[in-house]
Amino acid sequence: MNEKWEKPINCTIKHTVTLSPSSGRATASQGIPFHSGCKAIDVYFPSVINPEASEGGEIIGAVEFQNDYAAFITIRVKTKATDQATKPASSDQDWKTVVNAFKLMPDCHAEMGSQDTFCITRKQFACDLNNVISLRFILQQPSPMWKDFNIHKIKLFKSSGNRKHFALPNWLTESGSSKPRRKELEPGNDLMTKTEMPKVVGVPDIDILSSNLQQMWALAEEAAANQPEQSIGRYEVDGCYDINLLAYT
Amino acid sequence: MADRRKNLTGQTVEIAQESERQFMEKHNVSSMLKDVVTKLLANRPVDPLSFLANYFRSSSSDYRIDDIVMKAVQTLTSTHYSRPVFETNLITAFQLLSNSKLSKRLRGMNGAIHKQVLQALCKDVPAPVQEKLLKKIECFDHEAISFSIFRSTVFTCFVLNDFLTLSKSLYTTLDLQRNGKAQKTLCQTSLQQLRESLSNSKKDVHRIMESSYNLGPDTLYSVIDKAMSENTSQGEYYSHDQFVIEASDIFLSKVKQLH
Repeated sequence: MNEKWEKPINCTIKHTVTLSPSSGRATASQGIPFHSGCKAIDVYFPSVINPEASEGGEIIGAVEFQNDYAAFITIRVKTKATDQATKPASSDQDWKTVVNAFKLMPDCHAEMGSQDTFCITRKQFACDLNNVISLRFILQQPSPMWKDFNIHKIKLFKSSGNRKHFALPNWLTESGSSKPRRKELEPGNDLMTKTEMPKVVGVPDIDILSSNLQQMWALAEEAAANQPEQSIGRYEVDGCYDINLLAYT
Repeated sequence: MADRRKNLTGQTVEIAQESERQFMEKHNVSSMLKDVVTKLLANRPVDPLSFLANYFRSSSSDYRIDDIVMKAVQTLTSTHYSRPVFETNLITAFQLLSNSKLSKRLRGMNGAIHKQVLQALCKDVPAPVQEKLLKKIECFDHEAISFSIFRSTVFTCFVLNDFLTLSKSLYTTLDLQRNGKAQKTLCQTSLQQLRESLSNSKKDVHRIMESSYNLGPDTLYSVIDKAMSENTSQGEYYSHDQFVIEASDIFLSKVKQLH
């Protein structure tokens, strides 16, 4: 994970806000008895001008967090039009939904998924996250079973804009020979396989060896699959008769 | 015209005058040729010429095979067991053998005949392997052989033959110096990998995936590399026979003991 997205993006994560119908808007939780089952977390980026935008094409590639009994997550983003250089726009029309009601717990009344760590990647985003001013995580928990719910350890990661992360690895798409596959799996050892193995270690061509062994395996499996199901009805076990068995016949 | 005139005058040369078609029909050659070509195409043997030779030898009166066992073996070996017609051959052979005379009134196949067939099928198998195989699949002389037993035991013999051919070629691959001394570590590691793959007892498709992964070039390479680096039996060798016998032991572990 860290290889792909390097360091998490520097950002300010606000406290979780419980939404309640009485306030009509997001307020800090003040011990309101009514559970709306909905919470919001705002994330701001430190500089007014989004550092991601200035680096050209670099955008938020993934969101990672640990769930704590939230059933659904919706992520909304506030973006800045590129021509507005300095002041962040505050009108609500800039909010876009990135992820809509993503299911974190398959069944909101059951335990499954309640403590998992999730990583929502660009593939699941409805739009690209560039020129971001702030993000808002909206958590929902319709079930009354749980006393409280939240998410922790929110981390945002950059995407280098390289879509290769989401393409299938080469060794899976290449249906060809096993040689490129080995290259993919053991890039460090590959040179050694090619040049040193036959000379120094004294090992024959691993591909021939492998195919030979696989054929032998297949034959043995074939033989095993063709063993008789029915017995020929011998009474004896290990060369001895069970006298009781004979007495009944 | 000239022939006919001769016919009218002298009847002694009549034999020489019969047409080609008549000759063929008289000796039943055309039906026989048709038969052999059909059989040849159905069986598609590896060596068609020797198949034809065998066929004609067994059908010529001088060499007629009286031994039912030999006849059955010939039927069974006439094609590779992976071909569909092998099933037909199995049934033919089974019917042939079931017709063998056991006593004055009794006809059928018993364990003794069955054993003869298996021995004939395994004549190229090294003696110790053959002994172990027969111990598992032979029946007692007095036991009657059902078709399912016959089928699976014969099948096992054929697969074993192929398996041995493969293990011989594997040894040639492992024997880098071509002097009949393959390195012990190398042999043991390869066989161990095969053994592990076969001993996987999972029932579903995962077993196949895992096994083929275990025997894939990547895993094999890392396992051999590891074994070679901690090489404990430096300078020890596996002979050809030793290797083949150990490989066939792995095979035999998959063969069920008849009971």
